[in-house]
Amino acid sequence: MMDNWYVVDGPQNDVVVSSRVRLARNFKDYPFAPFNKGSAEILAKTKNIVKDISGIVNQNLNFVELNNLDQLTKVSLIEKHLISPELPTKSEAGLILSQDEKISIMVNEEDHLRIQTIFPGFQIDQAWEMANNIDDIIDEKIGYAYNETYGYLTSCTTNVGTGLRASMMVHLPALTITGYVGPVLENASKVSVMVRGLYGEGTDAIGNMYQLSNQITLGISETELIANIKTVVSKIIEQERLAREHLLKDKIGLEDRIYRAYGIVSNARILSSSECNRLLSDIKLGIDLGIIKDIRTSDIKEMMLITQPANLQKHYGENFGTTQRDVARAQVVREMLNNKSEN
Amino acid sequence: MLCQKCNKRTANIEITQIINGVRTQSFLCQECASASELAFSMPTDFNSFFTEITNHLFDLNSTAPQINIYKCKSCGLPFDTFKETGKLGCSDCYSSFESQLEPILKRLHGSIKHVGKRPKASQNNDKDEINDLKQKLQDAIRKEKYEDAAKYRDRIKKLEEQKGGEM
Repeated sequence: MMDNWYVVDGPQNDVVVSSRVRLARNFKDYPFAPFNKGSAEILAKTKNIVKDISGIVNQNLNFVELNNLDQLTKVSLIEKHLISPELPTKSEAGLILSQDEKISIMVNEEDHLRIQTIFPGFQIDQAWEMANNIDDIIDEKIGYAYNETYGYLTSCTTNVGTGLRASMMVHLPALTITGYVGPVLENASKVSVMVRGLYGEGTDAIGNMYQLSNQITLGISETELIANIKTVVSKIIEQERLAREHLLKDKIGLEDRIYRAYGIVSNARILSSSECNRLLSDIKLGIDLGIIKDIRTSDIKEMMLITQPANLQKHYGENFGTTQRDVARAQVVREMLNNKSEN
Repeated sequence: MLCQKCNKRTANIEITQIINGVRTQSFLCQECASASELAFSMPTDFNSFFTEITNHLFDLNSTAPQINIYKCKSCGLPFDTFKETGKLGCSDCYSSFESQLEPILKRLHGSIKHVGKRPKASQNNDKDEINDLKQKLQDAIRKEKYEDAAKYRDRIKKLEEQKGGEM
C-alpha cells in the first residue's frame, strides 16, 4: 500500500493525481459480451498467459476470478480505480493485478480484455508504454479481433479503432472556487476531451477531482491521441495554477478556509463522505500552496482513498453501517494526522 | 389531430402538466414540443444519448438509398437491438452493418478508417503480401506487362511505407 500508485507522488502532483491508459481488446472468433457463451474459455485462456505478461513487465501478477472476492473487496477495487463498477456484474469476470496496482487487466467486462495501466502524476507516456508492451505480448499469444478498416474491434463503437482511452485525473479546487471550471472544461470538450467525475461515466466531481480523457478513438494514431491529451491537460494545469495564484491574493481568506478544514478533520468525531472529500480537497490545496507544511501530498492521497466506504471498512477489517462509517472515517483521519505529526 | 400550437403539423407528443393540483394537457408536434421548455430532456446516461444520435442519423439518411441489413450474418444480432443498446454482437457485425455504421462512426469519431497500431498478424500478412507482390512484379516485367508492373510497384511502395511508419 505504501508504494502503490495512489499514494506515491508523481510529476505535477499539485494538479495531476494520476494518468491512466486503457486498451479495449477482443479475442478473434468469439462473440462480444454479453452474447459470448465462450467467456469461461476466454477467462481460462487469459489465465494461461499471465506468466508471459509477468515476464514482459518484470513483476508478479495475480489472477483473480471476481466471483471469489467478497463484496467489500470488489467495491474497494472500484474505489481504487482498478476495476469499473460494471465488472462485478458480469459473469466469468476476471482481473489480473500487479503488486503495485499499476497494472490491472479486466477480463470479460464490456470487451473481452481491458488492459489498464495507472501511474501517479503526469506520466501518460509511461502509462502508454507499459500498456503497449503488455498489448504486444498478448497479441503474440492470442489473436485479436481486428480489421484493416476499423482497427481493433470493440463491443461499443465509441471504442473502435485504437481502443485507447487515455485519461488524467486532475484536482481543480481553485478553478472550482473561482467559478471558472465550467468554461475551462467546456473548452476541453470542444477539442474532443471528455470530462467526467471521479468514477467515470455518469459520476460527480467529488472533491474537485475531474477525469479528462480523449473522446475519439478512430482515425487517429495512438501517439497523436496521447499528444493531444497532454496538450489539453497541460493547458488546464496552467489555468488551475493561475487560479490558485489568484486565490493567494486573498491570502488570509484562503488560509482561514484551509486551516478550518484542517481543524475539523483533526478534531471531528463524525465525518460524512461528502464533508470529508470536501475538506481533504481544501487541505490538499493547502499543501500544494505551501500553507500546510507538515503533511505531504502522498499522505493526503492515502487519506482520500482510505476514507472511501469500502477501503475504510477494509482498513478496520469490519463491516460498518453508515453512522459507524462516519465515526470510523473521522477516527482514521485523526489517527493518520497524528502519525504524521509524530514522525 | 393537429398540433395545438402551430395548427399545421400532426400532434404526436402529449404533455401533461400538474401545477398546484391543476392538470392541463397539450398535444404538440415534434417541432413545437422541442421548442417548448417543457419537453427539454438532457440525456444523462450514455445509452439514451447514443440512441438519440443514431436515430437522428437515420432520419437524416432516410431519403438516401441504403442497403439495410437487419441482422448480422454471424451472430444474428438485429440492427435494431444495436440501435437501442449501442453494443455490437461480434467482429462480423462491423462488416455486416458496414454501410449503416458509417454515418455513426463518422459522427462519433469524424472518421471511418483506422490509422493507428496494427496487430502482429496484420503486419505479417503485409510481409507475405509484399513478397507475393514482388513476385508478381518480376513476372509482369518478364512478360513485358508494364502497366501491371507499375500497379504492383505502387502497391508495394504503399505497403512498405505503412510498415515503415510502424518501425
